[in-house]
This record gives sequence, structure tokens and C-alpha cells, in this order.
Amino acid sequence: MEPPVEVGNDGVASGLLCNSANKLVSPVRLHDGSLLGTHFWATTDSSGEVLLTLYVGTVSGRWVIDAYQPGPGGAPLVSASADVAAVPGRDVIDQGGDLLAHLIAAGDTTLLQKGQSLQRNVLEWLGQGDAQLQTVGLGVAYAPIYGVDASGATNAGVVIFAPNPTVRGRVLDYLDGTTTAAPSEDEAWVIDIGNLSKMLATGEFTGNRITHVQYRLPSLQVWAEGEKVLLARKEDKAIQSDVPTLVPVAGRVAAGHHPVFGLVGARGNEDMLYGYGPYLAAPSSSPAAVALEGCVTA
Amino acid sequence: MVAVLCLTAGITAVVTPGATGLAQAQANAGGQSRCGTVNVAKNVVQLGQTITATASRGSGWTQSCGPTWSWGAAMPVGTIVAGCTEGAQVCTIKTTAMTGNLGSSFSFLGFCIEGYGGLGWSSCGVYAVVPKGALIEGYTNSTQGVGIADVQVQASGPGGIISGLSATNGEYLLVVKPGTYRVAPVHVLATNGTISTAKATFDPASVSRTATVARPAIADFTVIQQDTLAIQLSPVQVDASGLATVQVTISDSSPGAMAGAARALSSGPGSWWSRRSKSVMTG
Repeated sequence: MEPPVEVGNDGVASGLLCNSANKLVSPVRLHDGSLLGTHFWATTDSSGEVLLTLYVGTVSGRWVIDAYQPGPGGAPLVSASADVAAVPGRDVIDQGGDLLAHLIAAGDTTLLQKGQSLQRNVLEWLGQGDAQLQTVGLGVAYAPIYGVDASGATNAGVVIFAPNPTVRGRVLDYLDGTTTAAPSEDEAWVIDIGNLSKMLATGEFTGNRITHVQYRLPSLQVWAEGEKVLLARKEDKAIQSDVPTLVPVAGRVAAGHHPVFGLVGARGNEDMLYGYGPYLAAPSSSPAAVALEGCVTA
Repeated sequence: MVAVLCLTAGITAVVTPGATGLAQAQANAGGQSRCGTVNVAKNVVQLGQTITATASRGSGWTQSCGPTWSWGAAMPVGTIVAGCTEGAQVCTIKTTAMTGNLGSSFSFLGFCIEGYGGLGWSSCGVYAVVPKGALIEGYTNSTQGVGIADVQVQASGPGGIISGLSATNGEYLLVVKPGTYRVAPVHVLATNGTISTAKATFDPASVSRTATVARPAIADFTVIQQDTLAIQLSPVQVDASGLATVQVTISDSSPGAMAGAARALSSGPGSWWSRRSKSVMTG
């Protein structure tokens, strides 16, 4: 079997190919982090068939698979292809200024699940809520990220960004270090997992159960590098000084580094999920999600 | 002498004079009417030889078939030597045209009578007119004994390289100069004339045969067809939402494929590109 060598490049759609034993058969990740489609052997089952599942990613294009049976009694090469169409989307994450309110309104107990990490809870929650957000024109793209700060601690996050393929490219290029130019605050925000965890825990401790994300989400750049938060301005009458009151907030990533795409505690090939890859369906207990999760962790 | 124009019945079987081949060719020709029967004494003649057909009432003849028949609905091209008149039981024609060309396939054509004065009916025997020379003939059959059509068979010898295609019943016929030839099937052609993707090997790969004018050479081959694969993707159009799936089914659609017969589908060793190039070339 010969699936495409390219994965999400040169007009080739991205995707993961799993066999009937639910094992990932293509692509493989190379040492430089890139993905390479790879050929593999397969044996027909008792029905004379080989069954595979392509989990389509987020890069549009054509996906072609070839197969032939080698040897003197073998069969000549045959091919088939699927066309993966681009999904358009707006290029500004919060054009009307009301995304955050909708995110908060869409909060539910998915965020409070105990069986998996909070970062995964957020991804699942976004997966569930995205359809609802789309109904009001606010669907979001999202991906797991993490960064190592100056103290060596690993900080998890989930970046949400405008669902435009170009913006996705800009976000993921920044995350894999291809570019140092961070997406603008109009394009990408971060749900910080550490802060969210504290907020949810506080709510639970005080009996005021919270089921939604933070009231303020930093841009991806601010999340990574930190900033000085403007507390008040003179014209707000809170202070008399002309100098704005700024409070420094540390970034989640050490200076000279950049946030990285991926799940904290990724198992097996989970780093092929999200981003340009396929997304786990929501809820995580759904057959589709279980199957894909099983494939990448087998 | 009268020149007779041959009206063919569109028969495409390649000839051999064997009984099985004749029966097949007759079946292809539409067979015989219940009203009349035509038998051709020698179904394959060489150019310039005479060909004789005899006619008689069929086993299902009734008065509605009419009192007699006429010759000529379809006949060999040539000159009438004897008979061939209305109701004649014999028709002999000296052939002046072949039913194919040297080095290509030779077709069985119809030698027919038709009802006269009754129901409209016709009955045909079959014949072929081949060039003067020696014959190499045989069958290309599957391992199950079924004729495989469009197998190109090639004979190399004193007359050069002569090739022809097998017919739907697997028969082939090559007319060659007398001598010893190396006879070998070379490949199976697809319906559009290109080399079929359903590649095959042959058993035996080749044989040596000596053909004379007096005695044709027989060379039969078994066609061992390769497996054929089919890939089905469903659906073939999806969105890059990250949530779509495509089911990929590769099936072995070979005629001999059996349930439980595990077949490894793969690429061979070497780099992907080199393997791909090889596959394309051989596909």
C-alpha cells in the first residue's frame, strides 16, 4: 500500500491512515518532526479485503492511495483518491467582540471531568461547543499547546484561533518554530490550563461551581511572553497619574523559546492529532473518538 | 462461373478445424434453424482450395418452413464449382479471398442457406479461408479450462514473427511458412487494444513446434492470470474539518480469489520513488 508521501504539503491533504486492527500505518514522524507518508504491507482478510480508515485532517487537497501485489502472481498497481475540500472561516477570531461571552455561556461540566487532563477536557469541550458557536458565526479552531517557562515548569494551554486556513497556518508555523512572528491578538487566544484549573478548583472549594473558561483570555503571544496588564488609565478617573498603571504578568514560555504545539503527556502518536491532523470527536466516549484515540495510541 | 459475394454473419471466432472449435464457432454463428441444416465438409481451407457445404432439411422441418431453400445469404467469396442453386443439396466454391490476413486472426464466417417460399429462416455452417502455408493453432485457456480471449500468441521461425489473437473461446490460429517455430503467448490485450492490466503468465511459457502444409502444429497454453485489485474510497469528497473519515477498501477481485486466501499487498523493497516508477512501468 502506498498512501501519499506528502502529508499536508504540495496539494496533498493531511490525514492519518489506520488499519483494521486500529493501528496507525501512515504517516510516521521523522526525527526532524515532519510527517512522512509511508508504504506498508497488508494482508487480505477472509473476505479478500483490506479495510483501512483515513482520518482526514485540516489541510485540503487530494489524497491518493496506490496498492499492488508484488511477485509473479501479483496484481498490478491500482489507485484511488479522495478530494478534501478546504473549510473556509473568518480570519478574525472575535469580529463582533462577543466570543468570550459565548464561550462562557457554553460552559458545562465537560470541563470538570476527572478521567483525563484538564487540557483534554478543554479540547473535548471545544469540540462539543464548536457546533453551537458556529450557529452564531463564532466557530473556533483550536489546538493544544504547551510551553516551558523560565523555572522549567511545563505550562499547558489550548490555543483558539480564527478558523481560517491561513490563520491556522500562521498559528501552527509559530508553534513549530517555522516563524517567530506570533499571530496577532485578533487571530489567536489561549485558554491557560493552569489558571483555568485554579479557577475551577476555587469554584468547587467555595461551593460556587464554575463550568466555563476564564473571563479574560490572552493572545497567544501574551500567553507565551507575558505582558504588563493595564489596570487603569487616567481618563478612567481611577487614578490621577498620567502614567498608566501596569502590572507585569509572566509569560508561560522562557525567553528565547516559543510555545509548542501538542498535548502535555501525549501518548503514542497523539501528537499527530489536532493542528493539521484529525481531531478527536466529542464527546471523548463517542465511537469515533475512541477509535481514533485507539489508533494513535496503539 | 459466377462470382459470389460473401455476406458475413459477423462471426468473430478464430478458427481451428477441431470439433470443439467448430461447435463453438457454429454457436457464435447463430446455429442452425430447425428448418434446415448446413454442414461444411472442411471448415478451414487454404486460399484457392474448394469448400463444399451440404444442405438438408432440419429435424424440425414442417411445411411452414417452405418447400425448399436458396443458397447465398452468406457464402465464401469465390467461384461456384458445383451446385449452389435453389434447393441444391451441395454447394461447392473455389475460394478466391481469405477471411483474414497472414499474421493476424482468421474469422469463421457463415456458409448459409435460407428458407424459400415459407417462413423466413436461415442455417449456416462455418468456414475460414486462410493463406497457403502451414498452420499453428491451439487454445489459450484458464486454469479452469475456460477459453481466454485476446491473448496475443506469437510464433518465431523461418517465416519471421507471426502473431495473432485468441478468440472468445480461447482459440488462435497462425498461418506460417512451413518450418519449426518457437510459439509463445506474450500478453493479454485489453478491449481497447492496450496491454491489459490483468497481467498473466503462461504455462508453458513457450513451445517449439514444426508446422507443415499437410499437418498443422498444435500448441495449447494455460493462462495464469494475475490477481487484480480494486480500491474503493467512501466518501470520495470530504471537508478538511478534521472530523471527517474516509473508509478505504482494497479488494482482491481476481477471478480465482477465494475467501480466506490471504494475499499480501505491498510495495517491494527500495525507495518509494523507485518502487513507484517500477510499478507504473509494469502497470
